Amino acid sequence: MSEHSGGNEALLARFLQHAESGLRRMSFELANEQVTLFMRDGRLRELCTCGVERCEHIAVVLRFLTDGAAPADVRVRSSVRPPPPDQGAVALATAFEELCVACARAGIEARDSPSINQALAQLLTAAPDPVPLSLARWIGRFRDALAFGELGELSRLLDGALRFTDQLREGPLSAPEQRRAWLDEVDGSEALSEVTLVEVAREWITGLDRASIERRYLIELVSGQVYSEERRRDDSRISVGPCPRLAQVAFAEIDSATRPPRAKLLQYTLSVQVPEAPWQRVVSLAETQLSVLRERFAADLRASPALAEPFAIFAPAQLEVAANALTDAEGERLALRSDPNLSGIDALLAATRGADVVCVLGRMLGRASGLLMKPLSVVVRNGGWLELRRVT
Amino acid sequence: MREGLGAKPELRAQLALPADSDDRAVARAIASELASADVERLSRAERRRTAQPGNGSSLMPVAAGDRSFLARLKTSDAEGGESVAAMVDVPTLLAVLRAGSLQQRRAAARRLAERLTDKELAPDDRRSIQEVLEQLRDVEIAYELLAGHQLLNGPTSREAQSARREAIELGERLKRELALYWEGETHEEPLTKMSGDARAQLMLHARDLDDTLLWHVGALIEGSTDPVLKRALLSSVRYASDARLVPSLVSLLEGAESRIVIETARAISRIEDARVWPALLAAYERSVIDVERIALGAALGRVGDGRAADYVRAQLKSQDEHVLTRALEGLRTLGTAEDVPVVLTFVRSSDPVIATKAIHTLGRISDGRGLAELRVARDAPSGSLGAAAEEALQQIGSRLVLRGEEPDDDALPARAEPERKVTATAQPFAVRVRAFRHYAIGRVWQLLGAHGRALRRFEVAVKIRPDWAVPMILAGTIYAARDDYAQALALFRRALELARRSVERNPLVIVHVARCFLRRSEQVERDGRLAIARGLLHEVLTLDLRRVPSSLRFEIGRRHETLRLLGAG
Repeated sequence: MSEHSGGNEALLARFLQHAESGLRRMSFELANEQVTLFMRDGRLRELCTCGVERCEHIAVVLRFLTDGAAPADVRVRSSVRPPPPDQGAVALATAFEELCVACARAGIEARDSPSINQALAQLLTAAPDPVPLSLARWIGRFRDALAFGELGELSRLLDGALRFTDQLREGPLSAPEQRRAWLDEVDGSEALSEVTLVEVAREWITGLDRASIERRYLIELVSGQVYSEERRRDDSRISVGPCPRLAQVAFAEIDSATRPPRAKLLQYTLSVQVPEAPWQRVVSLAETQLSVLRERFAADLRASPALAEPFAIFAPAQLEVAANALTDAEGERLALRSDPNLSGIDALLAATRGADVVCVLGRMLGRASGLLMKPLSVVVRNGGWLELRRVT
Repeated sequence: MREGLGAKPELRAQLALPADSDDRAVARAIASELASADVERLSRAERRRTAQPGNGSSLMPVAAGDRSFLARLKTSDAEGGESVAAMVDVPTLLAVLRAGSLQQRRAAARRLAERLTDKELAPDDRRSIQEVLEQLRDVEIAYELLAGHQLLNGPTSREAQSARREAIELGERLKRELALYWEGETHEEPLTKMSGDARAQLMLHARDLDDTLLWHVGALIEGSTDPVLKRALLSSVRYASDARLVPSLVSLLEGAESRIVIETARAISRIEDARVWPALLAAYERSVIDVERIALGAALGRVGDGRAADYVRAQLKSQDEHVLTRALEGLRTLGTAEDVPVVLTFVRSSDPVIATKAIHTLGRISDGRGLAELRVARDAPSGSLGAAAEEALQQIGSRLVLRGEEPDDDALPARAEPERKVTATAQPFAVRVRAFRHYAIGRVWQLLGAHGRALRRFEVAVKIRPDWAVPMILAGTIYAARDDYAQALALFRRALELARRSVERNPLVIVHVARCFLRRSEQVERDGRLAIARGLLHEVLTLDLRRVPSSLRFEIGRRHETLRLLGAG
């Protein structure tokens, strides 16, 4: 981050003048980098995603802002005709619709239905290359739901996808945040800056292949907002560091259409020695009532039926080993998801290594059997100290 | 949606759609309705569910058939029945320490350490514990053995305490360096710049190290996209046995890179954690590559699941050398007495690597039928085969004791032979005195730190008496300290030709020799001469390396394996 100084007081004055009208931040995109200008401590500062102090990108932006009037020969149109939908988007929308029709016609009990398989193949053909993470994840979840006969999950996935197809057909300028979330497009991100994130969990989830996507979960310590971060197995373009870790984020892009929102950390510093305070904060964010978790889960699903995989922090009143569940103070049970040869509670207890469970962090799943949690990590009290232990 | 549109002709009416609506509209309406209904259902409190018992580790199959004492011996009191944790009898504990499963050997080492703190322990028992702990070179339980060593008297205890202290201090230092690395203050990752044996030595003490360091190791093995680095790190954590690494290791088992999966299986199967067996089983059931499947099957065997035994047994017929050696290794955890005749045929192999692996496997299977053949191997001139056979005989002897059988005394290892003096061939007395004078002056220079002068004196002594190994070894050590491993290697080789057993039996010397071979092989490997590097490691593996620190032995073995694989393309 660099501080703007000298020679451009006029720009600072303009910024201050408009700050009264609500101007907080200006973002520019050039050469695939994002430059952000904002006020802090009464000074104008710039950030560039290239990470270089006083880089060429910042210089171009400053020149652009301070070079006076636009060239005379630039014509500005008073109205712009909306561009037509691109053919790739139309093909993708059609493929989603065909898949939905194939499912409805064949029924999900016909798990090896040729028409469903063909529609899935069509979807993959229509998808951008490489297949964007959200779309790969959607296909992975769809296949799992089909294989296990999870009608509810399948319907939610299709419903969400069909809503997206409507937006795709409206043209490339519509719903940029959805297009970014589904298709990894450049536009549509929101910015996140000057926050502290603590990474609390990691897991490998199914995409086009099993365990092909790594997902990390990070919590913003002030607001308690949970973010995810994702990468493909063979891709190293993701923030570095072990789990857990503390990241002081100067600048990140956020895809708000997913639940939890997906972050791309672009400028950050790390600390791998995590003190106890973040865990105290995580514990304070934990829900103690299942009814509240349930409401939040439903709200996330309504907002984003196809791209919501809510993450929750739950402080159970009791661990019911025999029932493979966590229980709240009112006696309501939250079942834990089990793998074929390992119950969720056994995995959780193995991770605690004998310490007392304070709260469990995990991904929530809506299944035919009800609401489940897949435990991903656990905050334990070990000799009077709070510590995070990874389950996955 | 469950049964398909054809099964419900009245659906359009139910969805309030016109009768002539196309399937696309109907499908869309169904998805929307069902999704809303599902979200509504999930938002409501559920009836109290019927308890569904956890089905985790309790589902792990228990080997049936073997009803012997050892097969029924538990590791902790909590499991009920006879347990190592409650065992008092020292000879039995020592036998379990040699011949038990990994979990039993670990428990026996812990229990023996407890017994050492018992003030009422008989002096004879204390002595026998000390003897066995000092003699045993079982890298799988190295951490527990070191904990026992610390409770002994004498130099072994001091060495063990110092090794642990050094590991903890190194861990603390690394922790600070890691903080700087992740904060971007330095670009050199501190663990990867360490040598493989130093890293493995550190990781033997993983359970004493701080969380930060283990998280870092986890992040490196999980996040690195460089398979060579990943494999090197994985082999360093092979004996770490730390549950904090389980999440990262499980994630690697789910990957598709076969060599990574093999290394991961070895590392994870040595960790006692409920998540390990299900992860190994899932990987085994997915795997279709022979060497990978054998490694996963063997790892399952190590955690007590013998389902892969038949599969691994069948691979002994393979014509592929890699598959064969993996299968021989796999039978160490999966083999039974019935496998002994087949494994014995490999003891006679002309390839010392295969023969040594077969002997180790016989030791782990521990059946009396292998004794006669092992006795022959023990007396063979090859150092590595003899050493392996001696260990195997001890394991079988212990196992027979635990099974209540009578070991054949002739077959069991003889008492350590008295040191065979390296005698010089007849030389005129004056020549010997002259050589000794140079040697003695060289020693003085060496003690004063004047290594160049010392080296010249040793070289003169060698010239005067070319049949005297001692100045060769000292000169070789000085060359090695200067990283001139080529020169050192030549001198060590000559010393080995003259006094192999003396060199092998002197722990201070053999460690230099082994390290020299390793470093020289690294040098020639860097020059691209892989075959020579492989040959050097093969050569050092034919020595009796029992007195070499386990981390160094392990690194030699690991590099040899890597180069063999590279040689096979």
